[in-house]
Amino acid sequence: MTVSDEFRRTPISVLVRRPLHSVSLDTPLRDAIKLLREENVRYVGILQGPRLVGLLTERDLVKRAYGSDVGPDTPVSEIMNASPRTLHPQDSLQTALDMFDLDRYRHVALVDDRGRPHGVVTIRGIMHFLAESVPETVLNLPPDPTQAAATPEGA
Amino acid sequence: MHCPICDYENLPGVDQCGDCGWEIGDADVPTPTDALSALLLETQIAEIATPAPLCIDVDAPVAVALDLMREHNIRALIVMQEGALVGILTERDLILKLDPWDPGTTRLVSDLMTPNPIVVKPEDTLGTAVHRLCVDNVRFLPVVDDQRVVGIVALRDVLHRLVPTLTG
Repeated sequence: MTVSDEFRRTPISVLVRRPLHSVSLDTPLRDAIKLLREENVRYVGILQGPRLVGLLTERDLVKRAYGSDVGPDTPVSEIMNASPRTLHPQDSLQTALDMFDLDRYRHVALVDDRGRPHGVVTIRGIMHFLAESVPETVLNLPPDPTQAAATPEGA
Repeated sequence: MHCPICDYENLPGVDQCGDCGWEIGDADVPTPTDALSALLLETQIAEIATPAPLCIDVDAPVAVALDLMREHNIRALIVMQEGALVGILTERDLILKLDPWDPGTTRLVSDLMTPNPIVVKPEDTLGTAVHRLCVDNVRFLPVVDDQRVVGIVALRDVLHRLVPTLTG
């Protein structure tokens, strides 16, 4: 099976590595940012009851919170990306690939038929899947002894 | 590493065959076996990099960096000091180290940046970029040629180049 066949046939749910960290609509921004930092994630889901109604990403914060008059007690509902596009866990990797490339998404939440979240897939997850599909070409490259970052970016 | 001349099985990474002395330094370099491998091994980073990335001085206030990122709708800035690359400032750095309600006027780029970022060369391959992005867990790779920053490659740029082959 070629890699493109794998992308067509593999359900997107295989890329979910951990549950979606979530908060409720009225959660203060301060607490949402604390969660982003503590869990080392780039997004949090916003729930209304059991249903996913929004995503709050790093991008949302940089565009709408920094440099504005938003205070630490502002509810996340004022900053979040409401009604985000989602995928079903049984959708294919190919579907996610199109969303990441054509629609320029970086994170897509998976929700079931009742709107309940089942994790998030990321553009990085797609890249890891690809790298693991062709390890001899990508992952087995020799290390470069002349450079090494002390920490990953942001750490 | 298999010697193509005498069949001797050498240790990986040796330059010469331990039995016959044949130069086998390139014998373990992967060769393309399909369209995706060919793309990864033969495409140079210079072909996909965004040239002339936006840079900021290491001593600039963070507020200036934020304005630049928002104005140009970009997620990372190259940080320079006296013409040399010294760091990268990403959205991730801001989220982790700066609160939105902190005016930021007293913080400098040097306080928040990630120093000594992983870099690639223009002649490196797409496979090298994927390797760096996955193994080193970064999203942006400054492209450096002879100690000069000539471009930047984002994870999205790499994926965009791969998509036609992945969906073909």
